[in-house]
Amino acid sequence: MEKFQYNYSLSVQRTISPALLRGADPTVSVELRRKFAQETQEFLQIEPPLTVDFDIVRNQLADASNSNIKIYNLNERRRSQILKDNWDFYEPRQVILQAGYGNSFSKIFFGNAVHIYSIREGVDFITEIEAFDGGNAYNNAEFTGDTGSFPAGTTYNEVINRCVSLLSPYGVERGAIRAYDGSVVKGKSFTGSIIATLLDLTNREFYIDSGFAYALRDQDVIKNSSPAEISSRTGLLGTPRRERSFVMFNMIFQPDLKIGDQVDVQSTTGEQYNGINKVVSLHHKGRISNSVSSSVTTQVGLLYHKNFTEIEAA
Amino acid sequence: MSGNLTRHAPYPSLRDLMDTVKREVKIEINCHAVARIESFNPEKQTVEAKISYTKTYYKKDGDGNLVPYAVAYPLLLDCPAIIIGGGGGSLTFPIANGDECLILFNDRDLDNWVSGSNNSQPEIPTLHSLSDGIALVGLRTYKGEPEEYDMERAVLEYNGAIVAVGKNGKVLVKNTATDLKAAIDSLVTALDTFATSTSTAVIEPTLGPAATALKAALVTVSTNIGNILE
Repeated sequence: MEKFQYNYSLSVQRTISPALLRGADPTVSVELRRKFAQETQEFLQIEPPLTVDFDIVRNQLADASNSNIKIYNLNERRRSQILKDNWDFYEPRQVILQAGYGNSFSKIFFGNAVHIYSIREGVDFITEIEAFDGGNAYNNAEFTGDTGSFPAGTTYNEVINRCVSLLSPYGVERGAIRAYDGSVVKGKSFTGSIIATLLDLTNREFYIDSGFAYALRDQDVIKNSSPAEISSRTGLLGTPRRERSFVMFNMIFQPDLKIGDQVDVQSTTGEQYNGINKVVSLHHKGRISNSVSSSVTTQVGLLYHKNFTEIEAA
Repeated sequence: MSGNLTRHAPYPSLRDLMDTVKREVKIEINCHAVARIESFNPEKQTVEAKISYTKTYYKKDGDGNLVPYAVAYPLLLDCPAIIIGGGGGSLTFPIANGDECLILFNDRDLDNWVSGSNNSQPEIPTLHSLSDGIALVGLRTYKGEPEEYDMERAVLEYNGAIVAVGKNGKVLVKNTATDLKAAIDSLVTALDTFATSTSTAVIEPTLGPAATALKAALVTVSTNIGNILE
């Protein structure tokens, strides 16, 4: 990948208009109006030359990965179209940030906005988006009725698969999920948060990354045929350093990595970490602009392990 | 309720936040719940039960206000029923569909325990899960049976048949047709009548003294039965 000419494309789902929500016809349900809104309402597309700052943290942890995105100088009409306050947690507004170089993009964030608001700072109007990966699922995905009932003898794989499929209406699809041994001895009746149940069932190995559900142990990696090379040639900055059981290093913006990927580290100054490692955290941070200096870096966290098991993504 | 939700402070104080957190914790913990038995498995001695109330969720109405709506709890599967007993003895009841019960949600997963293990870590790390219910049958609504509660006796009752121990230490055994004391009294009376007639009859010389002895014995038996049975 040639690493010059930063580029991005930000898609933000427009707000459901209050007029539509109130509705001329009171017999039309909110769900139908929302569906109508989602079908007819295009995402607001934000692209260069507008300047964006972003700070995106993704990791293989039980809590949701998050992003903070600032857009400079959207016009008033577009600002109002994406306004969202904290309390609208039943309104799952999608935020998708793709970024890369030239015309080559990778999805670096896919999630749901917690709040979107605009302020004026000096001569700039800044629109700030705070969003969480799988935020809608974390907030709203709950078992209803008997959807969380599993009779004795159901394998844990079946239970986990069913739970993951229940996340689909909340924008989360199945990714790579390892096999879990055993079956339910006595019938299970789960209620409440589906994600909390998945964390219990997977020994807290479940996580969501870019709208996909994963359950991987430390030694599991997502199967791919060619692990990305991490070297000074591909943008490795400085020397990898070990922090507890993690190996951390900075790179020139590397948008195509995802959590659970295998990478092939080839450092000339930290040779002890060379070889196949697993990505467990990503922190993309920087600014893409056509008018001021752009700079984006990616901090990568690896889990140093010798023998990985490859798990195929769905 | 919906009014409360829509009138929250935009910037809650720490006190508001802590109150909300406390409430959230209480809402999420399953402690125990009243339920109605849907089926009983006498082989495993487990019940399937339905919690007798609903969960409340909120959704936006056409004006954007949050309004509550009810969602049923799932059917609780394979809840071990508490069968009173110990030391090899037990007291069983014909648990039936529609019986009311109290479901106690165990702190930890019960899978390994129901499989016979008494010293293993839980199979999955659920806490106070609906999946780990234990049924205590016998809880009743205000309209429940027994219709007439006996304050003078400890009573074991089923379908009109009663075995009861009274405060006076006497036992009452009866059903809808008769009671044991009356039946034994009838027997004693019949034998006494027979002994009386036999002791005075001149049929066989040796029967007279035997009948007299039987009469005396019947007095003792009757006294003893009267001391035991009501």
